[in-house]
Amino acid sequence: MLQINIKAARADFKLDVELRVSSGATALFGPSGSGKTTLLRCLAGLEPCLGTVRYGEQIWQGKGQWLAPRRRGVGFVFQDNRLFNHLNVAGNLDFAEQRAPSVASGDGVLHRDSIVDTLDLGHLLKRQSTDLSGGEARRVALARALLAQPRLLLLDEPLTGLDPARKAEILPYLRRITEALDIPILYVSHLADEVAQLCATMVVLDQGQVAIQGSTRAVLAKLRLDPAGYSLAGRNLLQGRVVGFDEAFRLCLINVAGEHLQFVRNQPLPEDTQVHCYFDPRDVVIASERPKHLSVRNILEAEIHAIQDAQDDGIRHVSLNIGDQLIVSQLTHAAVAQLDLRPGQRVFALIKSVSVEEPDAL
Amino acid sequence: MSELPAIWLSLELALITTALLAILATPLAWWLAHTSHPLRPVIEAITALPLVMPPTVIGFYLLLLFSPSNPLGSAWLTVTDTTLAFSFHGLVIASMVYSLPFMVQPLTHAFSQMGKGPIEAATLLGAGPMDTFWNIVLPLARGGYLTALVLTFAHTLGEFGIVLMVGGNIPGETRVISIAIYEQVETLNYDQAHFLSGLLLAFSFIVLILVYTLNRRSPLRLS
Repeated sequence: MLQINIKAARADFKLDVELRVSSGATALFGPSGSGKTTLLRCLAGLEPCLGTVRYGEQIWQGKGQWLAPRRRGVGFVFQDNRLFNHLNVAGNLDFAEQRAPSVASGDGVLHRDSIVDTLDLGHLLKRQSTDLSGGEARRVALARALLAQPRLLLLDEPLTGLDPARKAEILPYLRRITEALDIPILYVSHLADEVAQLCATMVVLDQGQVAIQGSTRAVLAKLRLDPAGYSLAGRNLLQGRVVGFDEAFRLCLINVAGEHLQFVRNQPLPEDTQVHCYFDPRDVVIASERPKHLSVRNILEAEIHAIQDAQDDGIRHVSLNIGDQLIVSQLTHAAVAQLDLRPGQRVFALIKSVSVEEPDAL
Repeated sequence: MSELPAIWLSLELALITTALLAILATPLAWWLAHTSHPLRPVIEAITALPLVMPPTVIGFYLLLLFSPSNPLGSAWLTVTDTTLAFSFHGLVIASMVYSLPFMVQPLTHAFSQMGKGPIEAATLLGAGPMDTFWNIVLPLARGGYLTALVLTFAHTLGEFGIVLMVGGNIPGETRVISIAIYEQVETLNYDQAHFLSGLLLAFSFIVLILVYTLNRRSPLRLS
């Protein structure tokens, strides 16, 4: 358990954060300039700040106490990787391993073989670190941070700056690591889709302060309802379990709170796989009665949670409960008025199957 | 080979000066590369002064500084019972002043190009300051060190004006190659002058070729 209560004044903003971080992946989310990277650097001891930072019983800083950054056991993956260019990949990993505190054998997750294996680095070990692709370098940086046997892992936008193909390449590795590690992980990102896939809990920073925190699903839902946070929350997300696959039409069918949702997919997924689906709020149509004779294949029963207008611009954000999940539909004010939509009303959410994207295709 | 002692003395002076400067200039260059202290431009200017000052001027001031009527000169006299002026030790100090920019500038450039990134990374991986210096900073700045060491060495080997001012022409003590050449020319002994000048020219040329070749091969190039 990491306890943070720090203040830091910078030229363009003030950081003032009180936060508890437990084991598992927590997203630090917010627009650029909201203080995410500064917070990470303060925790690692790379930048000065006021206040206290405690890790379990150990005080990292506070009341005249200061634990040197190199004794904190922080694994930091920087945005620019910071591999040691004079060493090859193995040399970079050795550097971390030789200086790591010895750990009880039996903890397999952070063992070299297992890390090299998980991140698929075996064939890269002899490669010069200046000779790696963006995705490979990121994986090496991640492995190096893990080999130091960290007690806290700080990931600063580990997917930023990579093209979609590289992102798709690293995402599964990151997911494996965040699931396997039993230490606090702070994952800085400004992309909601990414966060939703990797982090169970989420903290939204706004101008250096904690604006919202809680389970990722709840925080994203809250963000969607907030006119200012709406654009940050990204696409709608629905989670469900695979219940079937139509080989002929290449349609994957999932169960979302008793309702069925289908989308196009090339490869079948095993039944019962947990799946995240994304779609744009503009692709959600609302009907007050169950429609017939439509090409739309996804018709989900929902309840209107709230109706919001970001600005008086003729557009309304209608949030819908589907089971315990929340999605947003973007409609014209005219449509909302004509259908006479109100909170609490039972409606049908129509989502075109081709609009639905499934995460590993990201 | 009557001038062999002068050659040896030159090499000894260049070697000692280079070694001492490497040690002293490293923290200075590090500070210059990373500080945002308001005094930085002043310190930077002071380290660059020997580049633009006539050697005679630096020699003159050093001569005054070495005089037993000044603190440095008198302290040296008390401790060693010798004077700094017209001695090999005085020559080393003078050479260090004269060659300072040739050591500091390539190092500063290398350090600022490296940035703080690798150091922060090494620190968080558990490396202490010395560990980080030897295993990260030094290898990453090797191009800068190579340039700095070679330039300082070659530059010290060829210095003349300051040596003449501070050291004079005492065989075995302060008579270095450049002084020897000067004297051979003065006495119209052109054969010896040719030989020594050619030696210096060939040496400098080879050294520079070496620097440029090695720097090209190393991934960290000095622009």
